[in-house]
Amino acid sequence: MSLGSNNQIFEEALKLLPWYASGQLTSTEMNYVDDALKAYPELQDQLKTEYKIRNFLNEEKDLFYFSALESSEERLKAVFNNEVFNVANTRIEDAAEDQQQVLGIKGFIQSLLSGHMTKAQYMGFASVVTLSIALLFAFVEPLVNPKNTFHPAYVGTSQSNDTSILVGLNVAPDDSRLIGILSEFQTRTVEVAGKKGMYRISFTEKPSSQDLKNLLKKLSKNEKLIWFVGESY
Amino acid sequence: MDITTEYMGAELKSDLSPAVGDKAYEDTILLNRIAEGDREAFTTLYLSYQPRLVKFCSRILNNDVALAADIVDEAMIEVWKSAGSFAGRSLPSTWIHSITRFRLIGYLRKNKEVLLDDDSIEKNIEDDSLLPEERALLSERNENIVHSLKKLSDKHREVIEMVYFRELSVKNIAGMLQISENTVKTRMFYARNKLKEILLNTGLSI
Repeated sequence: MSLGSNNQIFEEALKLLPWYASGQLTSTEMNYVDDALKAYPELQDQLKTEYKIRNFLNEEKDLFYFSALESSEERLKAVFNNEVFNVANTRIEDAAEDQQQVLGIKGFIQSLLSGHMTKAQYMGFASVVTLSIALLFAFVEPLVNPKNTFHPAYVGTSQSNDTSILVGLNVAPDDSRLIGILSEFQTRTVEVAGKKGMYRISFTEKPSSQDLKNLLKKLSKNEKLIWFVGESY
Repeated sequence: MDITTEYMGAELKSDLSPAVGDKAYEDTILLNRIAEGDREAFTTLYLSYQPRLVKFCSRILNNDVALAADIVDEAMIEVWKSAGSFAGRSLPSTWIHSITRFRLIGYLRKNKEVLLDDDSIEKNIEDDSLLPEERALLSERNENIVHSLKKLSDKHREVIEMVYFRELSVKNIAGMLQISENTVKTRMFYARNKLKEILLNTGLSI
């Protein structure tokens, strides 16, 4: 490494300082920087700064890595794209739609009846209309609503989504370990009346028999959490 | 998971008063609202917990912040799904931390072949999670530094990481980035100047 003009020497040595500080230079380069340090007091100040930067970054390494991450707000936007939030949205929209329909019917009936009946007549008529609408919806709604599936009575439970398991817990039902194990499924846990520590976990969506088998296996291995597990009867 | 029991839930939740701690009280209310599908409440809770949880996970994951953030997101989704099961038997922060810890352990077991019976990792993580929340919180100063460091370009960030954290030589960096050694030196020169400027602007004595 040849020495050039004063400025060149200083600049070249300055560029090498990060590696000089970590001992990652060849012996020739080390000597080059050593000579420059003797010749330029300002370079010595730069070397002190170099050590300070190095120490700061090593002490606060996580800040450096943190800065490469998207902001919490940006992450949250991505989180909201998860399907669990979309399901919630659909439910809210459905509920709002249903409420709108009820209000519409109520308004229509009120417009028909205003001022022509006594209170008793009104109540009687309202009861008949309510009963008629309820019966009508009970038969018609399942046929027109694509979200519903129609189960003839004789099909029984084999095609029902109402699968559940019974568990005896040594811990509270909101224990995070249990929640973690069940997190792959949409479940609802209800304490069995009169049986302390016994819970019925029902699945919103029926899991495959293999998934259910795996889950039961996983649960039964956790003796700290569970003292009993089995399919519901 | 939705849990319905008659003995817990509402009663215990209502027992939590501001005396227990404003933060715990506010978070309990947020969890109750989240259980009813309130996205705004989830937003507040997420923004409050995400940075400290990422920091906690990234320590265990050797500063892999991106992975830590993914695990925290999964945990927060779990919080959204399970908020209705929060019974108020522990502080909300403890509950949220333990869900995150569980996710983290799950990841470690799955990807680093940690034996199911090996409690040491669980214990270590648990010990760390029990640190006072304040210790895990990013201070205002640190937030400023993180914000400022975001101004580094990807190229500068890359070379800084290679020099300061991986302690690679000029030659090695040139080979890895497929650029000349002179380009490595020049790039590092500008990256270091930018870094110095950022640190000075955040009030650090460099």
